[in-house]
Parts: sequence; structure tokens; C-alpha cells
Amino acid sequence: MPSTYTPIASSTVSGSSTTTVTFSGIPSTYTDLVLVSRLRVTKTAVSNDDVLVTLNGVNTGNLYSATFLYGTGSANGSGRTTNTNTGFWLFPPAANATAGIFEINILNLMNYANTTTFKAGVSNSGSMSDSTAIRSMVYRSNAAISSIALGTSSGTVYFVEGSSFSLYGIKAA
Amino acid sequence: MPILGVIASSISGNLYSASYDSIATTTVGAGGVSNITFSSIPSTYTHLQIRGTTFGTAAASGSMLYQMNNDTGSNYRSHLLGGNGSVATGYGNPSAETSGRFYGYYDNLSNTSFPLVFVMDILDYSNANKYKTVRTLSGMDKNGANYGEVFLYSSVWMSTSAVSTIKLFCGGQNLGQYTQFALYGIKVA
Repeated sequence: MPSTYTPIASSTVSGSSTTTVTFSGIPSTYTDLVLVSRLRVTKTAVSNDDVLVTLNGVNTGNLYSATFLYGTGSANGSGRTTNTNTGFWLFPPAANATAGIFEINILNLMNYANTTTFKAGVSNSGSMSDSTAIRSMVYRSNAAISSIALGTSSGTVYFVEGSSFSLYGIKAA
Repeated sequence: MPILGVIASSISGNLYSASYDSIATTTVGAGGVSNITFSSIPSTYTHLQIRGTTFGTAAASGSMLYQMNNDTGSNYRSHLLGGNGSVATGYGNPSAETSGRFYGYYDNLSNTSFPLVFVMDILDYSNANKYKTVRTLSGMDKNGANYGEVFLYSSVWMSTSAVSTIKLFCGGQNLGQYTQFALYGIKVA
């Protein structure tokens, strides 16, 4: 059986001034992508738009939407974003969280290289600081995904040093 | 602001070093099919994972289901944690069912353009002393139309037989063109 689940690229944030991490030149030779993120941001308090995932650099056309389910330890709920230009949202711990806590997010982007269907993914995430969540998401474009960017929601919010991102490719036989 | 860039392919090699293998893949052509079945699954792995992109064939609806080893008896139980964009729900059918569930509660597979995607883990599938537990993360966002949903499903096939066949299907319609299910084997060193 052919072995797969291959590391494509990874990045770890150093310093205190990184606002965007971009994986570009993603080969089209895999079936699915898995992006494993360990992240935290410098925003004063967590909100629901702290980190945005953008595909192929596209931030026009209102092509992104997502549905999420979350639990905070004392409450639960479900929400949705529709017709957005800013990609999918992640909710990492902010500066008011206990030091050293990072969110783990595992994003599965399925059939990312095909050029005949919309691109969809599911993710699960969690941190001890605020919540655990699962998400479904769609990018209404038939274009193959060749780049993934994770950016903070404003130019004054930064990834905390030590935030790390790893991209893997899974190839079906 | 500084931007950290990574050029893909800057790293090579295998994460699990021959422990995550592609076993089989099925892609549905024009016209659709009633089910996708993986058979003669080797027992040489520790866990199985199925990764899927799913489309329907019509506006009909139906939950996504599975059966092991062609067992159509009432030997499956399922529980879900789900969200539809406004409501969070936990649910488990009080009765055993004739198939396991891995997507559907508020709405179901009901359109041909928005992909329903899932990652299903089948743990310790070849162990002859345990019932088989299945965990699935599944979702289909439809940009606000007719719900968008995300689920974490757990289910059990109440049999100690090793899993050698897995049938995946939709309870209300066929699987449409471009549906693709891929079976992987995970081996613990």
C-alpha cells in the first residue's frame, strides 16, 4: 500500500511582529490537505475574528462561509458566517489567557486540487483558555487551492512567538 | 507588517514513516451510485480512516450511514454533537439501528453543489474481542441556504468480528458525481 500523510511545509513564529503566515506553491499532487496550527495572538481579549484563513489570496467576491459549534465549559452554541471575503475564522487565545496556552486547530481541506467542485473542509480546535469548537466551511470556487494564508484580523494584532503551523498532504491511491 | 512566508515542498519525507497507507479509493462518475463499499480490507493495520467528499444526485435528502461486514441487523448505535448555525444539539437514538450514522440531523445530504466532507476513524477494527467504535467529524456548509451543519458523531457496531467490509451510503438518495471516498490504514509501530 502506498504510504502517505507527507509533510509539505511548516513554520514557527519568532519575534513579536508576525501578522500573516502563508503557505504558497502548494503542489496539486495530493488528495487532501491537513493544516495543523498551534497558535495564540496578542489581541487583548479573544473575539470571533482573531485569525482568518484565506485561500489562493482571494478576499473578494464573498466566496467564504462556515458553520461552527462551540463549547466554553459553561455554555455552548452554534453560529455561522455567510458571504464573507475574509475566509474562515479561528478563535485562538488572546493576551488575557493564561500564559503558555495555545490553541490547537486541525483543518482538513478535502479534494483541494480538483477544478470541478467547490472546496470544503472540516476542522476541530481547542484550548484550555476559552473553548473547543468544530467547523464546516466552504469556499465557493472551483479553482485548485495553491496557497493558504493565516492572518490576524488587524495590523496591530500579532501571532505570539512560538505559534507554529504545519501543512501535510494526503494522497489517495 | 512582517509576513512570514513558507514555500511548500521545502520539507520532504513521511510523517508516520510507512504507518499511514492508502488502501483504496472510489470516485463516483456521472449518474451516481447507491453506495460505496470497501471490501477485503486487510487486517494488518491498527486503525482505519475514511476521508470523503460527498455530493447528492437530487434535491432529496437523507442521512449518511454505514454498515460493517454486510450486517443489516439492529446492531448499531450512534450519538451526535451538532450545530446548524443557530442551535447546538446533542442526540442519541434510544434504540439500536440497522446502520451507523455519520452525518445528518437538522438537514441531510440534499444538494448537488456543496460538498459534504468527513473524516471517519474506525478504531481497533480488526480486534476480535471488542465492539467497533467509529468517530466522525463531518460537515456541509451551504452559505446559509437550507442550513449549514457540522457534526461530531460517535457510533458503535456491536460486533466483535474484525471489520473486512465497509458500506457507506445515503439513506434517502444516491451518491452523486464527484463523490470520492478514500480508505487509509494506520499502523502503530
